[in-house]
Amino acid sequence: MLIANRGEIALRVIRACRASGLGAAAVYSDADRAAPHVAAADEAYRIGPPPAAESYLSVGAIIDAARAAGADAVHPGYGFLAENPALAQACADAGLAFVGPPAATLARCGDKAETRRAARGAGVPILPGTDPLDDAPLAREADRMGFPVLLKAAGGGGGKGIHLVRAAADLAAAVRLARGEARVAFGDDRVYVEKWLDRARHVEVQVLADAAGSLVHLGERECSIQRRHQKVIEEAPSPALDAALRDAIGQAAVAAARAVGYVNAGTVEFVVSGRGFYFLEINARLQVEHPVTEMVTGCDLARLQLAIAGGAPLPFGQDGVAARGHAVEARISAEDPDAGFVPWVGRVGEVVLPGGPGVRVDGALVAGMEVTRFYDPILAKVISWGETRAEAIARLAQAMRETVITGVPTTVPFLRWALAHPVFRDGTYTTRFVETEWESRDRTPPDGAAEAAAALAHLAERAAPPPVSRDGSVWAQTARRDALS
Amino acid sequence: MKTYHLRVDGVAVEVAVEEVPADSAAGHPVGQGVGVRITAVRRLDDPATPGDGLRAGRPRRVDLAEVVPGCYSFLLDGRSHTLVVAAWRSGGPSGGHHAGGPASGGGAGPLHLLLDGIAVTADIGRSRRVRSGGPAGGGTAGQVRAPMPGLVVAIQAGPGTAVVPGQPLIIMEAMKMQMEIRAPHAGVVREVRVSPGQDVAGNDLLVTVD
Repeated sequence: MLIANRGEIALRVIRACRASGLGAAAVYSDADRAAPHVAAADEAYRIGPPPAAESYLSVGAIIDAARAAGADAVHPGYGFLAENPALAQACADAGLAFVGPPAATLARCGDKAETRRAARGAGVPILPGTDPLDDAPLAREADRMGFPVLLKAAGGGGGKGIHLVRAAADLAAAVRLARGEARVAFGDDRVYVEKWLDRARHVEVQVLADAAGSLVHLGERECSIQRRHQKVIEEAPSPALDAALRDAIGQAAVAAARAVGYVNAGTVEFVVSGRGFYFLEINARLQVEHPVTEMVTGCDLARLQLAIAGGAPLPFGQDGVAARGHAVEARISAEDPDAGFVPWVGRVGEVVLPGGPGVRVDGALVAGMEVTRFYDPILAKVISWGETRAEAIARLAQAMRETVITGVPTTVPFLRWALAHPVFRDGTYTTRFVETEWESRDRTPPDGAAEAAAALAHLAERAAPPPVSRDGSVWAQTARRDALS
Repeated sequence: MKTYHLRVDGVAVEVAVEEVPADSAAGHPVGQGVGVRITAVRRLDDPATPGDGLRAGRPRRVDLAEVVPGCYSFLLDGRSHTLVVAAWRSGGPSGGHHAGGPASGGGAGPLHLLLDGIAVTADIGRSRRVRSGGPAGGGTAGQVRAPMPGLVVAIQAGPGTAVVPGQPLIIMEAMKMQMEIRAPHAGVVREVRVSPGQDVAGNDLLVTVD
């Protein structure tokens, strides 16, 4: 198996290969020579310089690496080429199995207007929205629909090229940014608008389909805690659904996936508002947040992907899917939650990761590693499981307390805060949680702030020049300078 | 006994510190930990009010031990807290250093701390001079700085352009996300310090608006 990706998802797929008794070949750009996924694989092949366009996004380089490795199959992970029909087609042409849907299905799922039509045709409710349009008709349609609207990249995914536009005056600037982002990320600057529901939740359903046409769903994931339209905490099952709604949304997901001829693991995304739910799109890949589904169903989704790509039938039908307990995932990214979640680059200092019953860490995070601006800032995911939602949250909150990462800002402080927040705890949050709760949180210094500062000052005053610390922390530097002055 | 004058999140505080006998501090390698008793915390802006957290004038026992560089275990009257020095917020060498060699020698100015994940700014008195040019979050009015390390994609307003508040000046990109850097106030663009295609570090000066 050649794994055409990097970071935590490459490691995740390598683990699935091991469990399936398959050899794993990694690829790396020059920025990733020392990355964990290279060390974890059986073989590794250089695919180019650091910019993704010249390495992880190069279909030619990936196929060459697969040939060099003598691979039978290619797993694309998520992001990069995962949903690009060009890689799936190139694999087919080279006689390699592609772990994902066939190129034609990827093309259909990548065209959001077409999947919306297919879903509507299958009786699945959709939100009001347009086809991809030029600037002038786009503005007309947005006006007709009424603001706020959500501007989306037709070729997009992963939250890129998405902008919420609250007023007509802001549309032109947002369109300019969205087209720019979409051009860079997907090589396709088509954008469209969709009606935006303000008090909504983002709920998605995991589906699995084999080549023979068996198609099941594995329940839903609640993904409403987002910043920049990218998820940061996910859980399964959703606290917003009762049994009737859960059943209806699961059936709608199966119908939508069937309507596009889906094969392998995929996710059908919905927006839920009250008791209404509306189809958004199909993500034709393994999602970042897939572990919460694995934790409650006991399935190894990455391993099932490999089996399906190898031509095996699904090992269970819908009746064979049973969920137990509750799972919550927290994404740790190198970004500064105290400064609008801006992504950050730099050298990671020290890393202390959590553990304990029901706690799983999927990451590719090593002390001293460099976070570059070339790739997504995700460092690790911490997933907890509990018999109840409360137990799962308590375990994850403790895991976040145990987690220490120095050198770069991370989402950990936000995650600690969110997991303790009453609106999160009672499960009533919406996609506006970060905007309404985090941005307006109480910023009073916590008890002990003055004491901590004084103790640091005292430590600096009495300390001999400390040895040069590995991360060259400001503290160590300050202490050194003081000792010398 | 020692008295420190600090600013904690902008509030001037006076803290009296007494080092406790060696046995309490035993086990700390010199320079990596300290045991003290806090005998008084006083808000200087309002001397009548005891500082946050000082319990009815009773001394508080503090023990600080470095767990890994940049991260301390902080015991306050036996309650366990985690204290991380947020080097990246101070323009220190850990933040954006490879994007073009900015802010070298950083570390002047207030310390940015995470106490149990909550951001706290602590200015530890006279020896931490705030450098001119300013640490992260500082800066003089009219100086538009990079909010993150990244790539300058386009200049939207060149020198001499009259701008209104919120007008886009620069488009930056990081992690495939583009962001408009906007004018903080009305004025005229005096100087543009960057050009398209240039890598910048977090807090680098981009544009000056008069």
